[in-house]
Amino acid sequence: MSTVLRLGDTARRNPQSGYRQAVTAFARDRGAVAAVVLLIVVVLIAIFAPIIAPFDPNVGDPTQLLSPPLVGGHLLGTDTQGRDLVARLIFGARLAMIEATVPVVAAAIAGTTLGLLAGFYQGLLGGLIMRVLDVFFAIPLVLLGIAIAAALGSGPPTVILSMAIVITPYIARVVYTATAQLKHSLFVQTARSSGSSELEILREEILPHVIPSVIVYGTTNMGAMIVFAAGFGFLGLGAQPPTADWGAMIAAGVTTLASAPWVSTFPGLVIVAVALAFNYVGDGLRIALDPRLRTRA
Amino acid sequence: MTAGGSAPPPVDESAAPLLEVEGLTVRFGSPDGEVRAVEDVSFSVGRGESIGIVGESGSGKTVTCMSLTWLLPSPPARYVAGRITYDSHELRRDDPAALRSVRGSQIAMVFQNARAALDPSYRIGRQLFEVLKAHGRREDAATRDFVIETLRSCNIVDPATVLERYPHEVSGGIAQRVTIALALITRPSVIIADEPTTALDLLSQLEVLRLLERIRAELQCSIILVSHDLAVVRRIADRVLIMYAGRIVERGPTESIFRDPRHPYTRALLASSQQRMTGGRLYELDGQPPDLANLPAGCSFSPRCPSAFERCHVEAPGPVPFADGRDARCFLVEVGRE
Repeated sequence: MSTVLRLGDTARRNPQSGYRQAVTAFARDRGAVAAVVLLIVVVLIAIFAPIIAPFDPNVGDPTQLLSPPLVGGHLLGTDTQGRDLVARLIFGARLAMIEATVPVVAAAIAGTTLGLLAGFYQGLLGGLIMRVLDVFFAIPLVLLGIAIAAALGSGPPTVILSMAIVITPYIARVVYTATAQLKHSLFVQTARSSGSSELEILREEILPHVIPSVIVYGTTNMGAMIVFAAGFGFLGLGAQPPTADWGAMIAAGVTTLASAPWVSTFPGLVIVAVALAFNYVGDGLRIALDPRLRTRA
Repeated sequence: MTAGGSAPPPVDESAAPLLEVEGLTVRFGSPDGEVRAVEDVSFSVGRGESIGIVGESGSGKTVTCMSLTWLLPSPPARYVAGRITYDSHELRRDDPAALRSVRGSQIAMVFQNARAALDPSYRIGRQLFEVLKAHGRREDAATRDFVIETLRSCNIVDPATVLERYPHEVSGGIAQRVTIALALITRPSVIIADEPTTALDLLSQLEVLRLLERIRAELQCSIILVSHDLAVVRRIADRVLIMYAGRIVERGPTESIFRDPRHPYTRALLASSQQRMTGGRLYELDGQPPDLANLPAGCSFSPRCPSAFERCHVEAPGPVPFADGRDARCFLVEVGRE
């Protein structure tokens, strides 16, 4: 997009590049900025987990079983095996962030491709793609994910793959609808009437309008993926013990929920916070990526 | 380009027409049956000539224009028949590469809703440049100057600023001038302007019309102007085609038609557009244009025609040519001529 003519001297005349406009608009949204900060912190924590974690996440202290928060140096307490919750949450962030982003990115690539093709080449190809994807809509999302994961065996790679498969149809449908609509828009006709080829129209006129929707939808979906992944973990389809998994951590505390509520509560709070953060970022991006919305004060 | 209009160049009538349309028939499938949007339309445009196409909404003006470079996607459009010849070469619908090389660079279009015709996510400068790029021009300082010069020639006072604007950041008048610049930037031989003034206020309308006149004089290009506004067409066009229900019902030199309309529909159009100086009521044509999926038997205009007789409801009139280069699809003129 930055190859617009050679606009060396225009930066002076119009200091607001599209990118800068987007950043400015995003910065106005306090909630989104706070959410980005939170997500960056979570990512940094995940990267530097071995350095930050106060205890070994997988080795419990048999003398400190179900220790309440702030006792014996355990900020958030320990679980049934005496393992430090802070350490487990920190290590769990690694898996959680990967499970949130990787399936969405994979589904975004697959879904955008399918949606673009189906929307632009309606008829046999488009019909075939969308009808096949419709089959996925017939089955509840979570159930389908669990079915795929159960069929392929448990573990994070399966979780990631099944989540990617499950959300691809949703992204494809978003892209399909947008493409089918854009295809008949006047500016696409203008491009065609000025001699653009179908491929140029797809690349220059349609894809740029579709990508922001995919980014926004995808980011919001990452929040859902955090919750999904936790669900998989809760059901024991995620990472196998003793690997720290936020969902599995909730499951581990369920039996002692009355006597030691912190074991399930803290992972739950973290999951909610991170999922909400993704939603806030998605919403902020929605405005920042639309040239018409973002210039409104 | 300099300001101020000059007389339109003389049209060489003996030379082969630049653009020729023969028997164009376009239909659309619909649940109510096949919509006959354009039926057997033939006309030609000479080099440097300007043609006005006039008709109500749904009379087939836009479909005709879009079909000149086979722009309508098919389906839903069904090209039943028709042959388009540009510069002595047939424009074949099944030759996309050849079509693309003509679209924009030879035959350019200006659309009615300027803001919708511009891509909302690109700056105006980029959109102008994309057109040049599609026709093989590289981006460099000279191209940028050329883009600025083209915008300036379209009466945009501060082109360097407008280049940097998104379409929603400029006024409707500027947006319309940008779409004209977009059509003009390749220096085409034919500019098709589909209702270019409809969405504008009177002053902007006048300015756009002057601009089109000037472009035609300076580029020596042909203009096909589509409008439902007779005053607009009268100002620009050398010849006028009157369309009704997908057919050309009357055609001829502009002044001749305005002075002496022969088809009852043309008469009704003229009467309803001219404010009577006498203070009488504005003439009103009763009824609605026909449903193109269920055309009436006989002449399509017969249900509304004030002078229709039995034959009109049974039989469709063919074009009746006159000695002065005009023709009209009406039995009355046939009778009158004999």
